[in-house]
Amino acid sequence: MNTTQWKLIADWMPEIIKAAGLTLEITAMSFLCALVIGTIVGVTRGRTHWFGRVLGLYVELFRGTPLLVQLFFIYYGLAQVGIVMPSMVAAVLGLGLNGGAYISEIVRGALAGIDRGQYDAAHALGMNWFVTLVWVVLPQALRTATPPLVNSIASLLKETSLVSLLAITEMTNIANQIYTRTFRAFEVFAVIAIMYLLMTLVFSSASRVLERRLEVGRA
Amino acid sequence: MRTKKVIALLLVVAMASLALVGCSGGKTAEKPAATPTAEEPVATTDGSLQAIKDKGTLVVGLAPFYAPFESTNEKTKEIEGFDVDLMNAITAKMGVKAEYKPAEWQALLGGLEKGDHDVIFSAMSKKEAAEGNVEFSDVYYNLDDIIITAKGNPKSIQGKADLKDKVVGVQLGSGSEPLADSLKKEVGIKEVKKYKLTQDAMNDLKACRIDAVIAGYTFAVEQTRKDPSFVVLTEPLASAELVGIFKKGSTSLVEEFNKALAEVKADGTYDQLVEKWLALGK
Repeated sequence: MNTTQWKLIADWMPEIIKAAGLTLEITAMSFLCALVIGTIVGVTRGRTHWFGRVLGLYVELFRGTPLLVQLFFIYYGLAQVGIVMPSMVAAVLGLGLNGGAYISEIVRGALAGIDRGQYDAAHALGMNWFVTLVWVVLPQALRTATPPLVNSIASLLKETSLVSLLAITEMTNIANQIYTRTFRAFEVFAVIAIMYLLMTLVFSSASRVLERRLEVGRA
Repeated sequence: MRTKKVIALLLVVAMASLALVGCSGGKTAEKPAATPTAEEPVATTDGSLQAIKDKGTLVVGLAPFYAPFESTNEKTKEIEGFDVDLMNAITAKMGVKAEYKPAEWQALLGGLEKGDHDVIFSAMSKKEAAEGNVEFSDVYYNLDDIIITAKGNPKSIQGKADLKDKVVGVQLGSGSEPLADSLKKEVGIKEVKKYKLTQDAMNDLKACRIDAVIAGYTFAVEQTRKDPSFVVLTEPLASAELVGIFKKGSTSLVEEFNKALAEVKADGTYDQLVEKWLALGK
């Protein structure tokens, strides 16, 4: 009665693989989105003017509310007032804005760790703020920021499971489809959990390799 | 220090195993309750009915997101609908009280197996529960699956053939989902989007992100009552047989349930409830 039936899951493997591809695709696109937003926000917030405060509000808003609520608001809520976007766009936007809020803090922290003297030296060499940022400060900040950034890819990957509720057939959505058809909750969610784990393991081992190459901790 | 930790650990393990024993003990305790029936001449082999009679309540699992069958009343916050009224009538005949336990649609069958509820009565069809390790009651309602389109039917969909190259929404795990999947092959639907709730699909239909929704007929009726702009195509795509769903082996309970259902149908209560909840707006 309580035996497991792995064969049932094997029949669904092509669909699961396809859904895994979509999960990776959403992760990649939203991470890119989050990285751009996070870097811009993180850099700008460091310079204190009113715009920095607005960005601070954005960070608080997206860190202080559940991602699921944000996704529902962006997809179903905005549609009601006439802002209609395809589910994939809403998913990437939601995940990107949410991830961007966290990444901006990573960037801000990494920048804060750069010695004041680096700015002064660059200034003495006649570099303006932007050149200093791109060629002097950010490359050094990247070293300390890399491990937490890779970490945030892993959490973004896991968070993509929430977009299954926007009727996107990624891994969690397909898992629910298999589950409602076969009622084999143990097998289905075990397989899907392992799939997520394998993917995040790739990122965490990549992080370890990167840490060694960048010699984090020696800086 | 070390021994203290070991003792603490052992205690935790012991308590955990006690908890396990406690759970399984609860189940075996039901079995002795079944044995008395063996003494009676009209012995039924399982104790499912006796267990319910002893408890005095039948715990009913339903997903209250499917008006007019079951939904949460916005004012009273009580679960109401055709299924609730019908179940009340049936349990009254059985001489027990019905207790309603709301759950996620996707979790209903798992909850039955786990013992969260004794029966699923949630507009669930034989097909939707087919793969579960369950037992069905007699059919209590035939629910047609139909097509709903947006205001003014912009893609002028007249029947299933017109779903070719369209994007269609369904509720994940509902009977409409495999139906949409088979139609995808049959007529060439472009994409079947699978929502947690049909309501979400209706929202997307309104936003024109999808072209049509496949859902149960009465759900469509309810929707058009709230928002008459939706267009309902009345030609049924398929008919689903709604049943009460019990744990495998609850033969005596199902028999008693069917008997009560037949009585409710015979004395006119059933027709009154259909009129109250499922009649179309005239």
